[in-house]
Amino acid sequence: MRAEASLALLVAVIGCSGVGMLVGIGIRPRARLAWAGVVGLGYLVGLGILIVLAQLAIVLQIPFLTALALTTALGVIGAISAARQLPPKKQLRPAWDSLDRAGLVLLSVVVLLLLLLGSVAAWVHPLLDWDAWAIWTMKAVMINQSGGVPSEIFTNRWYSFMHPDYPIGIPALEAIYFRLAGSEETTHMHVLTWLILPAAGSGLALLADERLPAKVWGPIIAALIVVPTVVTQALTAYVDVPVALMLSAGLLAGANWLESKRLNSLIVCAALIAGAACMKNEGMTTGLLLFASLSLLGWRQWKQLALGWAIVLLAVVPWRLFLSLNSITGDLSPSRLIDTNYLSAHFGRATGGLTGLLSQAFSLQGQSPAQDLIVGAILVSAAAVVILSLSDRVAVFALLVILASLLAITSAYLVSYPVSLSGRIASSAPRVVLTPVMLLMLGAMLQLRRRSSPAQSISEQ
Amino acid sequence: MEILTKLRNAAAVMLVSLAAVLAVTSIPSTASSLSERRSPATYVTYNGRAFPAVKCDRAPGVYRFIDWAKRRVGRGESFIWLGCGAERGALRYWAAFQMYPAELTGRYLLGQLPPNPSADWILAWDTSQLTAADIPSGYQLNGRYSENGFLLRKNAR
Repeated sequence: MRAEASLALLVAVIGCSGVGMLVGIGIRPRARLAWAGVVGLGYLVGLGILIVLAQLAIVLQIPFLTALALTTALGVIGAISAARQLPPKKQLRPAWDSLDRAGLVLLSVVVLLLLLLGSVAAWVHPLLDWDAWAIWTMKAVMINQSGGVPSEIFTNRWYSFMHPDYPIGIPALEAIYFRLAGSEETTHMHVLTWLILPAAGSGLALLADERLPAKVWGPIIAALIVVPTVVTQALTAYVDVPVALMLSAGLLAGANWLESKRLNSLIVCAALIAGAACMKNEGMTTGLLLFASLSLLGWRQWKQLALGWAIVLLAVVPWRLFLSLNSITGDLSPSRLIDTNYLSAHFGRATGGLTGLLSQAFSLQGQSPAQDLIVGAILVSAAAVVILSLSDRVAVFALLVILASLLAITSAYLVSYPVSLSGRIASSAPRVVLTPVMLLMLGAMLQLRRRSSPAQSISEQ
Repeated sequence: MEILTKLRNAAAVMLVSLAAVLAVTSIPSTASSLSERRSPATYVTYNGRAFPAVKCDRAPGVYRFIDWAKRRVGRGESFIWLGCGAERGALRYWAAFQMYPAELTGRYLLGQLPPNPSADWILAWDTSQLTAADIPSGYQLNGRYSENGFLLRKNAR
């Protein structure tokens, strides 16, 4: 019973803290419906901030439960700050047309399906899949038992299978749950990561609604989160889906900032990128490149960007320093990327990896042949929209981010010699391809019909 | 330029329309697969017989199994842990924390067991095809704790 209560408490703390932070930075919609988006985005932001602080606490060798207290404090401070501010101005809200309503209904059905039926499934789904228990949860048990990262195990070559150099945000989250639950109870634990999927559904809608009508974002976001391959993977407690969703939300928040230059959009973007950077190396690389692209295109707002970089680098620099100081290395050698001899001998792995990845994108695992055809047509359409919109700065941003995600993945394939490339692709491509696919679809979505003024926003901001 | 704009608009319409089709057609299969997961098996079938799942089988996560096994070891019962899963993961981890200093005499595969094994339990990991001939004399199938993990129990004397 304590485990179940602890899980409910942790979910509530993450969600409420995230909502508190969002309202504190001025994201306070007037429409009730838009609060579903705030709750979803709040869960993503709250979880991102919690794992950044938990990883930092472990690196600094202070009790990792401090991160939970700090996250809660940030949420409370945000809520108090919002209560002292004037309510947002109400704007005119033109009636939605029938297609807008259909888009909203479609996404609502999908989010509710994932939230209700999916959470029950995650509740009973056993923790069987390799990465989930052999990488993330094994590290979580170590963190829970030792209070930190036991370097004698992380540097032991027999443990290289668990990727000792990967960021420890997710293990730290699980360790917090273990500590609250009073035991290493894994039965229901992955509800925490599962909830990222329905939360992203409403959170992405809130972010997209700033630029687009519901008839555009409804179908696209619904398709992204309900396809069987995404749902199945999200239930395994692998972190590829959470990374893809955090980066996707980061893309939308970044695009909003490029257009509006509002600081709160940039802070949300930075928090999401920081969260992705604490989950997996691919999340870290793609996230850094995403924020670098944003900085390149919006460099005039360098003061805002400096604050954003401070949040992002908090998730990256301390962990990388910790790895270096403790001689913890992974099974990949990034230094090979600047070794001309290695590159000339093995460059075929990059092209082969990219080809394997793209072919995987057109045949997402677990779908019917008809759905594969639809996915193929969607990807071709999305690529055409992005490429034909490159006169727009947001399209350039989206293209840079999509290329960054492909670069991050193919670089990993490139430097992984002597591991068999085909084996590497077979074991990873169905999972890692989700990030570029989601970024491509959302990048294209950003270029679709803009909302006419006055804002027809669900948030009425 | 006009052609490119028309092309872009056509691609945009196609993107949104097909996304709607993909979402709508995915809902039934996703709902169905999520519903199936609501009923975890509490019994397993082996050679046509239903065996009650072991206690940990109701939520057969590896660490859940460890919790269960730990209590058994605490009562003085011993385990043999077989298969590559043991070598690649849990066994080394347990050894690192000295949870099972002597009880685990693993690193054997079924068929390569020492003669007359004496452990109270044998956990056969990564053994998706278990036949009666594989079960060592003196043991019986007790259940399974995962898709490919079988648990054998020493017969009562």
